Amino acid sequence: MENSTPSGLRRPNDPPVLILTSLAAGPRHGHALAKDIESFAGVRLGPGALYGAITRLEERGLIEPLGTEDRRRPYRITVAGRAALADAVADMRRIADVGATRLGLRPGALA
Amino acid sequence: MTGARGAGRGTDRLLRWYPATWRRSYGDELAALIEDELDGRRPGPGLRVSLARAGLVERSRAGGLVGDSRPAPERVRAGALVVLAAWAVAMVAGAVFAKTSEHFSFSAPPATLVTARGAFTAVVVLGVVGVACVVAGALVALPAAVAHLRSGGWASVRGPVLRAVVVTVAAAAGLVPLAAWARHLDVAQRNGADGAYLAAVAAWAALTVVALALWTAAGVSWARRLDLGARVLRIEVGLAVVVALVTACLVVAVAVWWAAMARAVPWYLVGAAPGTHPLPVPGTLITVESLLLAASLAAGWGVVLVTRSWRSLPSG
Repeated sequence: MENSTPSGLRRPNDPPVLILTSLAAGPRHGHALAKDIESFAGVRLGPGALYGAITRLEERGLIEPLGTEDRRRPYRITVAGRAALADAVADMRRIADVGATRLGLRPGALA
Repeated sequence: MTGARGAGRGTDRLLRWYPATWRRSYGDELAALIEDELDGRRPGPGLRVSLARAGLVERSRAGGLVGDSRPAPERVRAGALVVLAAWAVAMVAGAVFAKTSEHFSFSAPPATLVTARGAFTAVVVLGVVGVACVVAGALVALPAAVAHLRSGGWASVRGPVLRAVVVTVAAAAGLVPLAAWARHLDVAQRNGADGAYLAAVAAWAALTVVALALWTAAGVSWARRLDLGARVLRIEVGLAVVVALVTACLVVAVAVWWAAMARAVPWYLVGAAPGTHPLPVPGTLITVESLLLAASLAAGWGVVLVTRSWRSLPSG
């Protein structure tokens, strides 16, 4: 089963999507990322999962590191990262709209 | 050096699962994150397991076993080395099978053991082919290994090689008193009646398995550092595919031998009195088949890794 968006990102609770969503609001370091993700998604990413995803996103050029601040290195989303997140959000929206329609709700009503 | 400068020793230990190159890039900030999350508390088992798992994933990626972040030649080499490691497991299974099948041809008239003899011969031939492939693979890589040593590469492989040498010497040294002890025992005592001797043999066998594992680890560690050209890699891949096929055939050959012996002389398999009909399911053969099956699956995975990246190898 294909579970990736055209941009290579998976679905909503996948760590890369959560990290990109968090960084779309501005640069953050690891601890701030984990806290922000927990606040908006209710998902607690452990250090291992968080840095596994950060590694992959940086390898793919979707995020980039900024200067280190006392061993804490903030990351920011790149232009390619914004495009990938936009793809993923559009894909999620499309699925949400299908679900809403099939439930007899107006598409976008749950947004 | 973990890269986690200033981090506590405990945090350093948590990051030891990650490869050194990864720790150099992310070790400091991950250590800082862990310390922020723990806020002075001791790391719990959940965090330890999560970091171990994530660190091993990074090691697998760095070794070309997972993902496509490494260049095709490295992924191909990683696949071939998985087959080599699988063959080491098959060798252990072969050693257990050799002991289990000792003197089986004297257990019944030759006419009743035709299938078992055929299967046993197949196991021996397959074993020889597998060993020949591994030796051929080592010989093909020998010029690159010599070049690596001449360019000062010994320091990078000294640790694994010396560990393997030390354990091998210990195993060889242990064989001398064991053989001397065996000379003073009768057949029954040598085959399990003497508990102390049995324990000594088991300890020696365990040491031998550790030596084999260490040599395999040293070989893998060394091979990953060699500058192998595309032509050598293609030969290694061919040999790896043959070894994977041999390992799969071994599973079948041992199963055929087991079935043939179970039908002809079931008492032999479990050491019961001749002429009886016990359940012919000895733990040793279950171990042999389990190890061979695991080796075969691992070798198959290695071949999959190789074939995925095969087309991306540079020509030449």
